Amino acid sequence: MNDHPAVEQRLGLVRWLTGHRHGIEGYLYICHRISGIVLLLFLSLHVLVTSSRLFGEETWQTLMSLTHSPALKFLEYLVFVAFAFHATNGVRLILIELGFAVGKAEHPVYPYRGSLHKQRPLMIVLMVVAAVLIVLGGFDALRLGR
Amino acid sequence: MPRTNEIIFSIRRLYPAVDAVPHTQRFPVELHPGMTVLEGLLQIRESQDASLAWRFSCRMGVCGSCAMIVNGHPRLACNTQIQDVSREEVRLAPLANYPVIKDLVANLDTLFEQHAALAPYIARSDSAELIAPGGEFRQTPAQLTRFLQFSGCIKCGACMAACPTVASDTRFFGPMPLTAAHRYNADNRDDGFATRKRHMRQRHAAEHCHYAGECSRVCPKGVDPARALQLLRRELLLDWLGLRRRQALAMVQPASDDQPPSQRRVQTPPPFTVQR
Amino acid sequence: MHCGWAGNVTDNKIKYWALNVFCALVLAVLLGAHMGLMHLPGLLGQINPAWKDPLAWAHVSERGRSAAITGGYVLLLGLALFHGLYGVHTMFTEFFSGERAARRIAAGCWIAGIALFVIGAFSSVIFHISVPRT
Repeated sequence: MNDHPAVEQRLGLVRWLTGHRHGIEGYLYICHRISGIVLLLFLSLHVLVTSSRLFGEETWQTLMSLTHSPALKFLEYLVFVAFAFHATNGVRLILIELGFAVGKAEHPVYPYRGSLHKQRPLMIVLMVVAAVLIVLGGFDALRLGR
Repeated sequence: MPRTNEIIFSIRRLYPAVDAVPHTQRFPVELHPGMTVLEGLLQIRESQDASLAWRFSCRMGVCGSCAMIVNGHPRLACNTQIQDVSREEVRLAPLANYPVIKDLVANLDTLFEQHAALAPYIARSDSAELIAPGGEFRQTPAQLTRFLQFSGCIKCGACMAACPTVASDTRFFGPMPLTAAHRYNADNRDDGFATRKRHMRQRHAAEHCHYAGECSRVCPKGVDPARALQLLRRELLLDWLGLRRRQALAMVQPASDDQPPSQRRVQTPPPFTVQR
Repeated sequence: MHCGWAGNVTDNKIKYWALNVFCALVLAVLLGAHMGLMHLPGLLGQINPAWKDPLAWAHVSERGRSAAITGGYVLLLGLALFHGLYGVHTMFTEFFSGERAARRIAAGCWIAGIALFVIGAFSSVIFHISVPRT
């Protein structure tokens, strides 16, 4: 170690949100984490709410009537949005993390085109799928829902 | 407003022995076509402030000393032309995620400790071959391609400053050391996977890469650490499942038989080899 | 070999990661179907009228009578909790990387996971047993 005092400058949580500029995969990384947290919080609530069916039809109907308010409908839609994104981006991440979507090592020839370029078509296709699901969910909630 | 052939260098300055917090100092720099950020820094040191500290050595993107944050991106100062960055202001800061020693000099001790911990060299189990080589190791072009890309790393630390996991996880090995580990794992002359995997498969290693891709985006040498980490993780998974196939070891090619033994190139160790 | 800062080198965390990826794969299918049925009732109701109102008590109790669906719910809950808490555990161990913090984070995740699993699985199984079969 050097003898001088050194000043720590680890970016921490700031790096998630600001820090240096991200590429699109960097933003997807942030969104994946945020949507994951949203889904886990919803899951906890969901487990508690659906357990109420043990107490019979009346309790169930009372709880379900609460979810018909526009604010809760909207929150429910946000959960669906988080799920649609998390699932489609998750499929991309599974393929990447298992080493399928990143391609094999190649000779680095300038301008460098590495694994980020290799996985980008997959990313675009899956994000289009996510967008379609999100639009369908919105259409369903607005037009066809009760 | 700077003159037309002038650009402002805003440099984050800090001398921890004196300052408690960093401050930004602005320097006007006379601009020439094709001028690099490193040349701008040299101009400042020669004509304005000799106390400005940063690392550099080769000036041509080979040594990896001059990595710093240039307008928000980790880049090599010698490899970055000012015109490609901005027409008005170049903002410089030391590599993020590492302590600052002075001005633009970050303390990369942990980076090199992590690198060393992963045994970044060809480890072989046949020590007799190392002491008395019987010939040269032959590799096919395909075997070479498996690791050549990852061997281009110059250890500049740009990937470590860009990585969002390194930003928060103080124990994370990070893209550079893990890429170096994969470079040797993928080399068929190497026998060191079992030694390295003790570190590679623990919590703050391969498991904490989530493919934000920032390392590969900023790598000045096209090494693609993000790819290396995914391939490394697959190797670790296959190893855990007992499915990892050991590569065919590089053939030791003895000198041809039609040469008399006295002329065989590999018979005697080279003069710089330590004799035991 | 230097390993003072590198944590416990005998750990094999890759197996947890592999389990997490496996959970994610199964969830993509099972949870995909669940979310589709629950959140796209208007669209799916055009295909099968029985899917039009999945939250009506009649449909809830009909699903509760099925042992397969009840088992599916328990499986889905277990996988989702493991996957979700593994993700949260990863995020927390990135921010608090000491060994003591790691033990506390792991304990917190296990407690939350087991509590939610017990509540969810218990209510599903009891509902399956007690729902009137008419």
